Amino acid sequence: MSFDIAFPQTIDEAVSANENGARWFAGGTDLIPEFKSGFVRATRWVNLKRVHELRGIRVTNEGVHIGALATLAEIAENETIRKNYRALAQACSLSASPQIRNVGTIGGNLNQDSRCAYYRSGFPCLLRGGEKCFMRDGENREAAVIGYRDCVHVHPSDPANALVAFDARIVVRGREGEREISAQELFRAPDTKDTRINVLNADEMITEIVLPRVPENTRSAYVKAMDRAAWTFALASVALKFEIQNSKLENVCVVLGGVAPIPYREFRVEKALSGVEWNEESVTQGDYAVLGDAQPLAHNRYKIRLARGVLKRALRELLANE
Amino acid sequence: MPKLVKTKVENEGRVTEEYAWVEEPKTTPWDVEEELRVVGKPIARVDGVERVTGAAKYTTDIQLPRMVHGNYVRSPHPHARIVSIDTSEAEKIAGVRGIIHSKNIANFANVANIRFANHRDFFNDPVRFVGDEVAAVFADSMEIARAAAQKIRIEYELLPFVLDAEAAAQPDAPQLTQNGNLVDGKPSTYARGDVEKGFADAAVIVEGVFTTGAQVHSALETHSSVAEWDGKTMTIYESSQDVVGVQNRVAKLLNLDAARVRVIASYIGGAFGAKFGAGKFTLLGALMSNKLRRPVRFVLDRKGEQIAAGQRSATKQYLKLGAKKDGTLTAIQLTNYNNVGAYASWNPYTEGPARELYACENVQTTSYGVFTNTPPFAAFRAPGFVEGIFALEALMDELAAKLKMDPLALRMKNYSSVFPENGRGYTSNGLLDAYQEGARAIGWEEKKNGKRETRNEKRETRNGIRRGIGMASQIWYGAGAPPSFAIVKISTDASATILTATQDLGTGTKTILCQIAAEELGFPIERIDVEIADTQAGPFAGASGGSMTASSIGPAVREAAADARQQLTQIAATILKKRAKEIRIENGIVKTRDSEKSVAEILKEIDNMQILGHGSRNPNPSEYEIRTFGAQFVEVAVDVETGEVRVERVVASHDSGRILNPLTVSSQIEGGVLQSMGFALMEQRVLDANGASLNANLEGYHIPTIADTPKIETHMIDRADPLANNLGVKGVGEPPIIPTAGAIANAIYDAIGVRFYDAPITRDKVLDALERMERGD
Amino acid sequence: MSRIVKSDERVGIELIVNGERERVNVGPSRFLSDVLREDLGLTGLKVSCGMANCGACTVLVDGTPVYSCITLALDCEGRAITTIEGLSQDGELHPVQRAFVEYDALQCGFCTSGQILSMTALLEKNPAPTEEELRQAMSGNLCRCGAYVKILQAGMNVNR
Repeated sequence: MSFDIAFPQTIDEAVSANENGARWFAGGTDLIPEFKSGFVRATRWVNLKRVHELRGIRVTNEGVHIGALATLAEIAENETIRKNYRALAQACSLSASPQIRNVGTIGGNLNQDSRCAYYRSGFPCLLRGGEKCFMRDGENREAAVIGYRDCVHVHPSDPANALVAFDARIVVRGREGEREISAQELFRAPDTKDTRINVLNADEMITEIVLPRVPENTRSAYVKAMDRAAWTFALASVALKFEIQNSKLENVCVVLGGVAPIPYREFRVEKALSGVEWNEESVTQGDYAVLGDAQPLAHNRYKIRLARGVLKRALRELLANE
Repeated sequence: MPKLVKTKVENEGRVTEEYAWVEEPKTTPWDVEEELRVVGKPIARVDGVERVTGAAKYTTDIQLPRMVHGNYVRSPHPHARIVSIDTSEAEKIAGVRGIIHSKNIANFANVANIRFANHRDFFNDPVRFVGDEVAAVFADSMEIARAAAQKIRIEYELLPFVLDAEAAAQPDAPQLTQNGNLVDGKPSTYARGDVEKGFADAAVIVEGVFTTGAQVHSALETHSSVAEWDGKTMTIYESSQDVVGVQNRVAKLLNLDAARVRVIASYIGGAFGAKFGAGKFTLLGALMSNKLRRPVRFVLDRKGEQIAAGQRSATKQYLKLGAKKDGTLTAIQLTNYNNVGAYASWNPYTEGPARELYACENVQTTSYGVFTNTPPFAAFRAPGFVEGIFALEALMDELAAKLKMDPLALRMKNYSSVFPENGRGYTSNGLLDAYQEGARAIGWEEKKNGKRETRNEKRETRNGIRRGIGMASQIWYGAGAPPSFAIVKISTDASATILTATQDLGTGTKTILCQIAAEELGFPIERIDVEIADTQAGPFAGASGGSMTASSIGPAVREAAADARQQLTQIAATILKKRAKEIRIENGIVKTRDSEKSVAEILKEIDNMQILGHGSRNPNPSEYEIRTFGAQFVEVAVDVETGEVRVERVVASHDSGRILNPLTVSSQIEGGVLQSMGFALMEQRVLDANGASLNANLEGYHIPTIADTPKIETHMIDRADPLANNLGVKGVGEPPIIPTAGAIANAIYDAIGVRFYDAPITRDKVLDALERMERGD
Repeated sequence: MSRIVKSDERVGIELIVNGERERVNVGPSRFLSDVLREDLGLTGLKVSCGMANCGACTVLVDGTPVYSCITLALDCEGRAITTIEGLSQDGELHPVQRAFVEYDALQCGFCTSGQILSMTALLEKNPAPTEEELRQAMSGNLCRCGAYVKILQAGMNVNR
């Protein structure tokens, strides 16, 4: 198997080069291993690396504009993001490995494929056009515990959770033109009718991520639980964001990763945390009913406790920073 | 005159009688107090520069003109008969040079010469696991070989399969071999004393069922071989722990004299026990190279490496201990099932620790090596012992808790100063020293917080973190043995070269051999060169495994160097007109009472000459047992909210006799500790219900990263064992991997009061256990 | 219109490898690791997993560590590539190489060129890293032998 490769210089060129089920190519950290495993059928790759419009991180009055080609390393090291959108910087720096962060782009990260072990091992599962999800009744230790439909994969992106917490907007371009969606809307739970893991059409690409301005008193953290200290996907993670108003937590956002096919917002916990005094006693005493509605499978009940654990850790970390 | 003697050779628990061709020793053992100049010093690797500059050539780096590439077609089924193989479409692809499989291999000459243990064949039919080799494709490039593999049509008839070892040991299980599902057709059993009586005499009995996961070697250089036939000699470049083993096998296959097969393993990118002898890919590559008259490169891809190149077998162990009130063990009983997968040439010695570690009169073990339709076993650094110690030392801790004894005191109480199986003495035994040194270094007494059995209750939870401390013991082999031969040659430029067909797996073998030769010759180490891992360059040396390399070939090198030194002394005496005994050689200088002249100056007098010293490894003393010992102490931090176990500190105290090089020894210790930590906390092959690997890669199979690395402190007992051999050295490769996992499990128990019986102890297990504890289950 | 390179097309590109201009012909699915190892004979980098899961193939592209096994050669046109062979100058080991030898920060050596290049890149940016910074920066390079303790020691002592 091989492929043609197109080198557009503008977004328009890129969109028109994407024909007959072509694949977008940027960092290649996901696509190339899939190609080497024999899973990529596309005979054309559209290489976005020379599209300068997609580069860079800009700070404007509106907020921060992150070009889709910004690498995870660039985002993790960006001063404004580190200061105002700390959870996003942390999520990027906890993703994969330094070498992957050096080339892996935020656009590609959001649009990356499932890491489900069955899927990646070539099982004819739902995501590969097959009949059933093998993980559901199989080795489902890493599977979703909530928000899933017919496929129990979890969305692998770390930054996605932080982007949801900051209510980022995703700018998308395709043949039909441009549209904007919220970070939350980007992801979907695959089912038998539609096995896509996000709402992008094949001809659409992410061009930009817009982070709205955050008030001065915003705090945020990203905590990720893995099977080892680095370079694995999250078993569970949390992007936590809130504001401090009159020494109380307000506008709380709790987004869980590694537990659902989408970045999972825990509205009930957000509510429970709202108005709580910002000190160790009040914050860590609460027994927040994290994932109270979870429907765990045979081997992943632990994720409920783990999600509560990473939330506590995030709170502790922020308290220690005060 | 040399003589032929029969001698006992032990390798990883397997004892065989072998002939050794031995000479009168030219050396006497360096004593404990011996002042040595080079040996024992932290000397940097002699091949360090090659390894840091990219100059070191590994098998996978060999590129030859007209090279053909081999690639396996693997079974997608766990157990299936092959009805037909149709290669016609594949053969049409330009660049395909040949396809070998079970239906046509008989056409290749001499395949019948090659026997594999336990009913293994070149290509088994039926195939026995998902990933089993069905065919090998040879083509001008890997791309073509892969494309051709896709075009081979194979029709399978599916057979019933079994994945679980205990289930496979039942009589009604699907049978994998004509001889049943047990390695060697039966369990290995052992008994001493009367175990029933031992339990009857016990005041306290503890029992546990332990499981350990399949740990995959995951060497970064996959199994690889390049075969090059020049019409007369077959040269094999192989990532191998055993060049002579490869040579013999290939010679037999091709009906060649051994001398016509040259095997080279200059640099080996990790082996850990999985690279003994010739691989099937080696033999197939050699066959093809011979047939095509082209070089053939056969390198397993990562997936193949992870699925089919071996593993530390998963175990299930039923262990029971009885003890008197004072802690004296009265009985040890173990029944274990080793899931050796589809193929294994032997049954790993999981029961070794139960038999050998403690002074207990009544011991009974039954070990089943069970074939299942899962990936095959291969020796993995201290096979059996990591698993065995994980169970035994965990249950010893439980016993200590029941007896309200300090776990360390319980172990010291049951220390055996003689080999418990036969009452023979050891050449040396530093276990008590290792206990004491390790305990001192970790601060065992200070960290006890009162009585051991309640210790965990006193552990404070701070910010969700609980800390604990634990330890475990180690016993292992590592005596080394004959036969092993070396040559040391001295050239007129006063440089010396060691020649021997041993291997350096990255352990630092070359470096210690240079140190030994430099010491014995009285040369500066910079003037010593070493040529190993080439069957054409050096005389026979055994495989590098079983922690036996230093203790096997090291003594032979010293003998060879002594022989060379005696000759040099004689030459110097003649030239200087002195008597030989008036001459000393130190640091490359020939010294007499009244003169100093460099070796180079002396040898300048005689052109074109070369001193050849030869040496061989002498047998081990028959009246003693030789073992290595050690203890490790571990501190862990357990996050009770997220289930994370962080190993913060490991103190490793080992008795491996004399330390030849503390720098490379500490590297061995650290590496062993890290692999054992991986076994304890994160490494495990995952199979689906049909036996397909779900993590046959380095993404889903987690080995430790640098971010996981604890502080590791090496405290070697460093006491020469002159009864063992002329260096006083015992092996060190495997000892450090043995106790870490058990010590970690014990430290976790200390931290959170939960005993884990199943390795790896991943977050899900920790969190589930904490939840059960909270619910009061 | 975008420039398109067909799957069977070979394009001549120039790479600056270890300071020297090298011309190679590559197609779309040719990876940097293969170009360096097979076309240019620079076998110091290793391909161990080929899937960006181990780090043995790490090289520097314009000073930044990347996995060459997943880097398209076509994307490297005109870029400066540093491999392990280019680190030592005039027969003198680079300080990181020296530290690796001195502290025994390697065993089998198969991952070593990647480890050294990752560390070199870190020290260019941050000459005096903390141990934690080293752990983070080096976490994309697996070592199965477990030389990590010594790698940390080497890293802490390169510029000392």
